[in-house]
Amino acid sequence: MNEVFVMDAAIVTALGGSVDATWTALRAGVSAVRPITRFQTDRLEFHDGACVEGLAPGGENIVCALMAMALEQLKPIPNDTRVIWTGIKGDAQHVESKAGGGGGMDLFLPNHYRQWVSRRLGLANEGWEVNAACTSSTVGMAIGARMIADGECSSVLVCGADTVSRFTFTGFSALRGLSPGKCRPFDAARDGLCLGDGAAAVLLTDPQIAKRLGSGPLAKLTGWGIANDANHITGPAKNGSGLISAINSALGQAGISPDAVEAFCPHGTGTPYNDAMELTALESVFGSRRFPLFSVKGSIGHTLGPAGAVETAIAVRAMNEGIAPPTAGLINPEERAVGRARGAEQPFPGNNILKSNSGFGGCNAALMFERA
Amino acid sequence: MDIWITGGAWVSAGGHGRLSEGRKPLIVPGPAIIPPAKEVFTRPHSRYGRFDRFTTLGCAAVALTLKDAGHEEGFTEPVGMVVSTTYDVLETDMAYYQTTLDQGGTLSSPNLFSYTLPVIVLGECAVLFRLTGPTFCVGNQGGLGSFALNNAVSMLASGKASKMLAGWIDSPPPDMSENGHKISGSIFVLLDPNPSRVLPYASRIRYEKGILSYENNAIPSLENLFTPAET
Repeated sequence: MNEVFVMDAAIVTALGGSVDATWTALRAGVSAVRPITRFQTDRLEFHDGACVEGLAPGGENIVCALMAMALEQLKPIPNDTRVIWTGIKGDAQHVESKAGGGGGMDLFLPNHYRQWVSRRLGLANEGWEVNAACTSSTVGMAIGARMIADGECSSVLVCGADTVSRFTFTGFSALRGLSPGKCRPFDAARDGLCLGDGAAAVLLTDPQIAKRLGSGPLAKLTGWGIANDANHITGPAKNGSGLISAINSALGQAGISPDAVEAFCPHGTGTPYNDAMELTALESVFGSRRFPLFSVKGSIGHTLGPAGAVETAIAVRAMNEGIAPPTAGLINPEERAVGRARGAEQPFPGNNILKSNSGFGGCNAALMFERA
Repeated sequence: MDIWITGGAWVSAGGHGRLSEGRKPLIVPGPAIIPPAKEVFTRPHSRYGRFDRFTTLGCAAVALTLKDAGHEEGFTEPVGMVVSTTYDVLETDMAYYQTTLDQGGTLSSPNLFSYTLPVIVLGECAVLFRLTGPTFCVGNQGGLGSFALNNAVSMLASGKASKMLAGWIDSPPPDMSENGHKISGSIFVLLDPNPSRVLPYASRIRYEKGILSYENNAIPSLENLFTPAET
């Protein structure tokens, strides 16, 4: 089995157009959540989101525009790299324009996006796509890691972008899943999520390619797990069963005992049910042990398909700096989050970090990263 | 690694069928004919008629597949599901967005929005049949469902599940076509490396060094698995 290295990570969030810019703003506790101007929300009960400044629907496909900003940051990658596209609502702009009587926006399905990425990067193959709701890019990295570990390929680029669209905003509004203000992950008074624009590209490689690239790996991806709650199509299982299975699978593959995990970057949407489920899973796997956990969604919103890749770029940076960034919006942690999540930075040894995401359809995925 | 196809089923414009019937799926252009609940489920299912079309196609083929394999009651061990699709749930996306157009979006349908991801069929089947293993959707490169088959087998080979469902679902909007055809339907198979019993109609595929084969041939489509192996 080959080792799997994270060799590059590029992101664009409403906090900044790079990992550096996003990381700096995260450490300062900044939130990019503000009133949405991209479309009208005046008749709805919810009005806020984390939108990338200047990104607005016009004649161009804004998912491609956002993704292009991330791809431009990548260092050169091997020509035979396989692309895994993980954006999940890239058809929204087409659906919206068609329903509005406009015919200007071409339909882009997931297979069109991965072809577009491959061609833009001049890669030899056109890759493929994964949809696992809000765990899409986490699952994409798990699959990419498996392919590399099994020797099916030597490098995989897991990428994707999703935007705050009227389509998704009205939907989460109808489900009453949105926060009336800025979301507050793991706070006792949390009241819903905020949506955010996001794009990410994470390059995974085997050791030979890592050596050839010569830039020094960001991390090793040592374990992954994917599991279903088998509970409800949009709500998480209260007992956290799916997430527990995914985490245990990732830890088992990595050969790491729960006692050795130093930090955790969970999904942390800020909805009452998601965060409660994650704390239940955390206590089931790790017992009463307190170690840093953080959510970035109070700062950048929920970026849907690419959320796992965006947050992996941040989590790996956190590991390498030995700093868990503040969870923006967290003022009064709920009881089980006390001593774990904080509204301020938390130091940790920086040898490893656990990442997880959960989503519609009962999907859960977890990744274990270790210092390279 | 040898893996048994212990059950399979399909739904299309040509009707529906099961692996045990010994005939290949009849995948023809046109809207798929949804089988009635009484033919699909062993007990009444109140939500079946309220799914979107994509989810209905998937749940019907999965239920028939598990009936074929003798697992209609579901599972207690980790069993996962991988679905290939080209069009995702575009048809449902269109239907949902129509509900947002009046009164500034205040009448948007939460029920329809819930079905605007292809993974919802994974969730519905997971709840119905207690699927707690890896579940995700992939594209539909190559023949129908072949990519899902490869990914499902890789989950078994990685030891992440004890059995896997692999399938294809598509339900393009009526005004769309590809290569002049509108193909809508679903095909599923159940993959089991260690079946407790091998039914006469079960097929066996081989996974070696990342390559899948059936009777020493590549597997271009899930349809190819519906001809029982000659023994």
